Amino acid sequence: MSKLKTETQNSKIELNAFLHTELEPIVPSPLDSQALAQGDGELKGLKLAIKDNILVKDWPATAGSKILEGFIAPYDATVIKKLKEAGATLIGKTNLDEFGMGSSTENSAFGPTKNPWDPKRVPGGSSGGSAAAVAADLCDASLGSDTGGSIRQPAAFCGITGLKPTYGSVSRYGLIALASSLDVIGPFARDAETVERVFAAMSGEDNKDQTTFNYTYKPVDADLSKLKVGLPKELWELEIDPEIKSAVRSVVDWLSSKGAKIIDVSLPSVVYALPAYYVILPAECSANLSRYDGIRYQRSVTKDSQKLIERYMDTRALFGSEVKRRILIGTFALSVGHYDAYYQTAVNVKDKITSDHERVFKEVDSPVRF
Amino acid sequence: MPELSREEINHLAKLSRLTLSDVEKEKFAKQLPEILDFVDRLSVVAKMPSEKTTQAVPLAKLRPDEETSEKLSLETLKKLAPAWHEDQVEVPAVFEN
Repeated sequence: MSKLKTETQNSKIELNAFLHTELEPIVPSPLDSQALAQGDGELKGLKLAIKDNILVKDWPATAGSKILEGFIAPYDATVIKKLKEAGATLIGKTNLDEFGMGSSTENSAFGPTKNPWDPKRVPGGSSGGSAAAVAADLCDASLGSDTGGSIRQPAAFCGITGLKPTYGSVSRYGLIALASSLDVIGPFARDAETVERVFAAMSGEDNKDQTTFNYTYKPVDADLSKLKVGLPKELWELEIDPEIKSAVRSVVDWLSSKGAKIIDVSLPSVVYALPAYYVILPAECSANLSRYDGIRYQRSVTKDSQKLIERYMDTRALFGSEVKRRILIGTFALSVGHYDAYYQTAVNVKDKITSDHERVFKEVDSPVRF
Repeated sequence: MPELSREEINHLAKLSRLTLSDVEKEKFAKQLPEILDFVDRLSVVAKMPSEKTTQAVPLAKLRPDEETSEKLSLETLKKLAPAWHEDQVEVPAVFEN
């Protein structure tokens, strides 16, 4: 037992998957929910790690940024409250690219996380700490957040299962905002069944987040022989690593062998998703990150006889390079003379992508995505 | 798009309320136009018919009965502010004398 514990501790340090390693686990008590009081709780005993941009009461939350160093969360995010009620044990906070801006976890102000399969490689990002912790067996499951691939991509890089839920199916209350119209919290685990259990416990409508919709997770026994799967031709035409393309192809062939109907579909606007994202994300984050003003969230750079604006500017010097770059782009895209050409155009493209998907979902049950 | 001039990057930094070092100014003056050039491929779809944006984050529905957030204690609030004076958050002066 002690040997295993030592190995786990060493692994935590070598991978740099966890921040604030001094934290004591939070074990739910029977007072947290009726289910736990009755000895139930669907996640009882599950060891869960939390991305450090999700608030856990009385624990630090840095979002991987120096600007939030020393901040202690005053309340639980809705997902944390629900997961505690379901009996999950919270074991720690995981590393991420600063405010979720990155795809490798190298942009964390607290050093990069390494991939447990090969420490010379990155674990992906921005939820790289959460993915690495699960892959290295340091926890049973973890929470990440996804704004533009930040759960899907590290899950793939670490060889585990990650779920980016539909926007609005999980509350964002207590998630440190990056781009509010895209952010969503989702689970990682080594198997799909655990991902499903965590998602079932954390999802659903929340009065504290008005973008959530009336939703209760229900397991569906899919009859593959009746499934209609769409192949979007625009995605197959993109330049994608042949190994990945062939892996996706083999899944499509497997579905076909089980009787699923494979149908060619068209999503013409989807190739514009990335440039639109490059406008919408910085625009929203430049507004969201204006709150780090050296007054709120404890951290500030103070010098004598400073004016308010100087305090603001000096504190914001704590942002890393990637964060500054995106704030600059967002400010540019929202400024007079550029708003219509950049922000309004990107939002129009987003609307077109939505309507293209609505059309395709009338033709098939699910389109295949890379 | 050509590289941003020193005046343009200074103006953008001012609008963004960011203090940039000379190294950062040089780097961003080169990088920003490259990113904006990539984004410019959206201009081919700019003529798409659409409505003006009225909200950045579409709400699922408006809930008049939305409960107010739990109130934080004075003790908790004190821990969240860098300076505190007689039960009030202390901030530097906004205006010059």
